Amino acid sequence: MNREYIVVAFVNNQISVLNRITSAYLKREINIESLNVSESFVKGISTIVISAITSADTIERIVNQLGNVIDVLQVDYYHQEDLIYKEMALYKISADILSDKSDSDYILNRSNSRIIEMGKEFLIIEKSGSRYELEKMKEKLESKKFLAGYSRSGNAILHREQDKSILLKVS
Amino acid sequence: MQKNYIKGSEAVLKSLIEEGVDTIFGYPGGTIMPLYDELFNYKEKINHILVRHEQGAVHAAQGYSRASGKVGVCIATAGPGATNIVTGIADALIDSTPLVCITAQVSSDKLGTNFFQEADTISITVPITKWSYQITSADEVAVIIAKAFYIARTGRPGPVLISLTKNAQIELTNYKYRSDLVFNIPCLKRVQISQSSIKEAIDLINSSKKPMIIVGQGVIISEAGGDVIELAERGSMPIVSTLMGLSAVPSNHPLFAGNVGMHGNLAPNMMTQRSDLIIAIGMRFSDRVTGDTSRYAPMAKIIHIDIDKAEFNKTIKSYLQIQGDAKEVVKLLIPGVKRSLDSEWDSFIKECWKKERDLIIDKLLSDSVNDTVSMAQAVDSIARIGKGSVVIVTDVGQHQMFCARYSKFNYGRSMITSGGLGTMGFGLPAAIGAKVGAPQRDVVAILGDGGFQMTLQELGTIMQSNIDLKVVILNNSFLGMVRQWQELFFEGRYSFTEMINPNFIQISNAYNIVSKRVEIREELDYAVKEMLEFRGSYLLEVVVRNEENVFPMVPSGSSLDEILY
Repeated sequence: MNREYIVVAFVNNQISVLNRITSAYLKREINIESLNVSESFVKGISTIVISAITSADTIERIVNQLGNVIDVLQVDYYHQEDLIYKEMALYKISADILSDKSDSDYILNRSNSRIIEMGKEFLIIEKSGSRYELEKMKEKLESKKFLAGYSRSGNAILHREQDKSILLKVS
Repeated sequence: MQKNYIKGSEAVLKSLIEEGVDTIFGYPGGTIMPLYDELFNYKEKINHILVRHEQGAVHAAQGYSRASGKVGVCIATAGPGATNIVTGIADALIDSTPLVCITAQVSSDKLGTNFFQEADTISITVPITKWSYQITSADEVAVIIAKAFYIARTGRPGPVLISLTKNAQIELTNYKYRSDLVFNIPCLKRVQISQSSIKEAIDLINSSKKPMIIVGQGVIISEAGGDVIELAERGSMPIVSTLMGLSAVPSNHPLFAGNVGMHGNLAPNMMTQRSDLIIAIGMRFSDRVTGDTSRYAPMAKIIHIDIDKAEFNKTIKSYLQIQGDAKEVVKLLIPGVKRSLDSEWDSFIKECWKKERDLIIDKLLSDSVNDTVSMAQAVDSIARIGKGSVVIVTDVGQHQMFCARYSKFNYGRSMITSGGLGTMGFGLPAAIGAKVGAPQRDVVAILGDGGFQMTLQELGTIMQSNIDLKVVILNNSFLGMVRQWQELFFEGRYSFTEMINPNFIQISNAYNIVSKRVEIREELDYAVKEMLEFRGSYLLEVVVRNEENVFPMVPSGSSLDEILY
């Protein structure tokens, strides 16, 4: 059965590591839904978080292959519920939203987002959450024709359990 | 501290020498010229073999490595030089051959400008290398070359590509080779072999009724052939081999029961389907070995021993996995194993062999009615007259399967073939490399007429470098394996498999290589004897039956006991 798997890899911050990692997906014809590369809490070591929809067998093979990549220090796969993971999205919204009491109340008070810029015609708001939550708000704004722009980041993750962070003891 | 400023190109050569490299295979070109200029000064220290095409260089490096156990090295220029070695790199990855391939690259300030002969070699080779690195400064040379060799030969071996920019070749660097460097690479760390798994494996072996050992190339790489024999003898267990594992165990050993797989022997394939315990050592359950995976070894518990844990449960689910070097694991198993011969199992194996001899082997080899030559007879002749001591290097196709079936091997590293990738054109250059890597051994390249013509320009390399190589062309004027499949599975529609061939004897003459053509059976043994006794290179063309098929055969997607013969 196909479902979403989140692969978390700790890698040397080196040219071509990302190509090696994405090529493991490419060769199996797996589309990457979300990708985030950022420096981990250890200098010179990056965290790569990839989410993709595939089968248990395939993700097992992908992770085994990634484990053999020279610059990969540690790699494993998770389900959403194993991790605390958030994405961040920016929404460009027509200022008209402020003229409707219920809609503006939603944006200002109930959406768990914050306004980061306000212009005459548009306001830019920021919200973090699961992809589902971010997409849901996007759809809501879209259906009311307020949405003028949208950008969503990849996943930032942390292991829920302390002992999952045994990583990086390698160095 | 004394400073020792040398050019990056000289640093490359000094580092190669530090790594124990005595031979490199290569082809010069624009961007690699600074390295070749320096090589001129190192002619006495490094034997450079000039090939005729970069594909020849990489296959020769593979043959060198497979025959010697050392890391093979090839060099090529940027762009087309680099893309021409791609096939060999892919071949080396899938067949776990340690290579360091050095290709030139345009100067680092010109990268990404579509400069003359610029190709993005790193990106092209990412999926087919164990590691790759672009050196953009001469200061990186010493460390990166050391790291490249360490990665190529450590753990499961594989190819490494170094892209060397022109400026890095020319710049000066304060060269110091660091033999004390330790590379902390998690996936290459030695694994602790699980003692509880060893104990469990011993119990499984000792209580099994119908065990069998399958050896793959991992046994050759870790030089575990002798240990596997000891294990087999203590456990009275038959040993069978994959194509890549051939010669790990001498073919005449009483416990050696033949080859598994699509064109393997009857016994090993039938055994697989009846065995209750398979001990798979250094092999990866390729589709050519397993047939239909859902019906593979239905009665067997499988103990999978491999250095690469990514191979576990990849295509075949195993009962017990032991990660580690084959030799180390087998050595741990030996003391605990004690098991006597199961006569029922033993007679089953003997029955299968009798059936194969009666139905296939004897019929083919003793065919006195027909005076045309079967490929089996040609390979058998080389095996008999060479007394199983020659290194056989093959190309890909029917002749390769006949070589696997009818060759005899007394020593390890005696069967060099392109297994996983099935690269036609591999044979001739790989045989050149094998002879250079194992100069004390007789090397015979056995090729089909199709594969020979893919890289026949390497006859020029044989001529120029005086390689004492025997080349046998089994000429059926067909792309025989494809034709066989067309006959069996495509209603005999021979779509573009018939070959109009040139006169191979004239080609051989043009390269100043002694040659002979044999067309009838009676002349075969004499010609093979003459070839093997000849000092120097020799090309023997054996005209074989046009439409011969390799049998037995497990058709693609069938179960191992659904055998055509």
